[in-house]
Amino acid sequence: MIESARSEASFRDPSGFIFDRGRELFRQVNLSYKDDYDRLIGSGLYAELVGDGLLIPHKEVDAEPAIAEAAYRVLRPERVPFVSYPYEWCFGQYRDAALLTLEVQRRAIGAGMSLKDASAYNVQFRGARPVFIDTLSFEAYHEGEPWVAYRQFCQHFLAPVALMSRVDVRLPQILRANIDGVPMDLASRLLPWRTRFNPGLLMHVHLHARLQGAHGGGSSTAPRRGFGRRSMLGLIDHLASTIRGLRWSPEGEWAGYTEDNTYSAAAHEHKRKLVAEFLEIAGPSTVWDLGANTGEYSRIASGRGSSTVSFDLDPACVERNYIEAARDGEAGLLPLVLDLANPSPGLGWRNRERASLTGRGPADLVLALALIHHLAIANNLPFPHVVDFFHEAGRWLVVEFVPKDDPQVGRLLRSRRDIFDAYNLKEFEASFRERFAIHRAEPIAESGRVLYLMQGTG
Amino acid sequence: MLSPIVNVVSGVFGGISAEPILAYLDPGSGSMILQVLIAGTLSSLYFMRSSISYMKTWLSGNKNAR
Repeated sequence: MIESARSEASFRDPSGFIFDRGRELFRQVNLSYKDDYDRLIGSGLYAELVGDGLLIPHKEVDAEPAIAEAAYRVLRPERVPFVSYPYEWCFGQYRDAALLTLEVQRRAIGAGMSLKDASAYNVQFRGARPVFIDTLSFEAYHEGEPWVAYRQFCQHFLAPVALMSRVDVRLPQILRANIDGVPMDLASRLLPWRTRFNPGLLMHVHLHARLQGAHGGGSSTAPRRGFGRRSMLGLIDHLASTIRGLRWSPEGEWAGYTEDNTYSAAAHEHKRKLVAEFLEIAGPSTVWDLGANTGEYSRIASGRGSSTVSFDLDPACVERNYIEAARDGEAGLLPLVLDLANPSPGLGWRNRERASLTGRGPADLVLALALIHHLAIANNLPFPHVVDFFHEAGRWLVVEFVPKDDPQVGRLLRSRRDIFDAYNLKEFEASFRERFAIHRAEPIAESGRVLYLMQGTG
Repeated sequence: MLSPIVNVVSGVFGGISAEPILAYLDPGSGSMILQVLIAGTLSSLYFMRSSISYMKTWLSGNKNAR
């Protein structure tokens, strides 16, 4: 019999849980959630949300439950191609995820249900479109009661989006230290004083923080009445308009985005052709483009049907990439913010609740274009360390060697002592041959750069 | 700026707290009280916005009819 492995991220809600069996993903619905599950399906809410692409679809299946005595149903949900976390989202992704959650709650109220949690981890991306993934978050709506997930929504969505918009776009990194969102008192303290003149932020962040402070985090004795349906719809509407009013533009202090400008047109065209050719040879289903900039080469991979994650350190590049992907309705391209020198670690309970970057891999193929000098020179990483990381991240590798006399390397060395004697083509190849078989090595026209296609060994 | 409001609200709700709302996550007393406190404002704003939106639809519908 194949073993069932319960997801390390699925333990808080007693309504059910996610488990893996073989290569398949299932969700067990517990008997304690029977009434709410039947209401979700019977009210037509499930069909409406799935039909409009807001909720992940599932099939009810006749599979063995993981814990038989507690089980009501077993579902097989559609798998998202890559699980991402809020501290990897750019501003636009975060805002869209927040608005999606509010839209799901608005429609749920219309169907006599309400979200019992509003965690940012309940939203994933299929390409550039956010989707709500927790089928068990819905419960019967009792008119008159406030929204039980309001606190969580403000901590998980409103506070991070406000901080990105009004303080610094890099601030979702706070979520690496706060698994249950940004505490309201911290958000209130970090936001500039003038944000008290924004009615939404005054109400939902500053006043919220003060009231939490006055009442502590203890048991929730609160009036059960006085919050009618119109107040609930007003709350959802007000949160949505507050979030829509928060903006951030990739123009300005984050310029980035100049790396490829050093190529001649012929070199650029040749590199594109080689990348496409190498992708055809390897035929990957999944691609991680590391240091993707605005995703030009990621689009060659997604265009041939590979599910592609397009990582970059610069939030402005990722924002541009996301805006373009959303505009074009890209289904196979997911832009994310990532610092390769300090990639997302395992977080949460036992460091297993949120997976590390490599814990979500390996990808079939890693693209590492115009990246090696940033790792080896800007971050002082010796080639063997880089090789080990690429070997862990992907089965195939398309990597570009950028020589020391390249203008981009010169720029990195301008104000530094050159301690990088081992940074040369010979050492590069020798290091990679330790763990990869080199299938192709093609000089890129009109540049000193070389593009490699390699396959991991051992 | 917020202290007097917070004190009044805390005093009022501290005295008349009703039965607890049972959720699997702690909804936070302060967060629940805040919602009840702003319920009237939210409700009025929602009514106004819905009315404006209805009027706009009605007017554009009339224009289309012409």
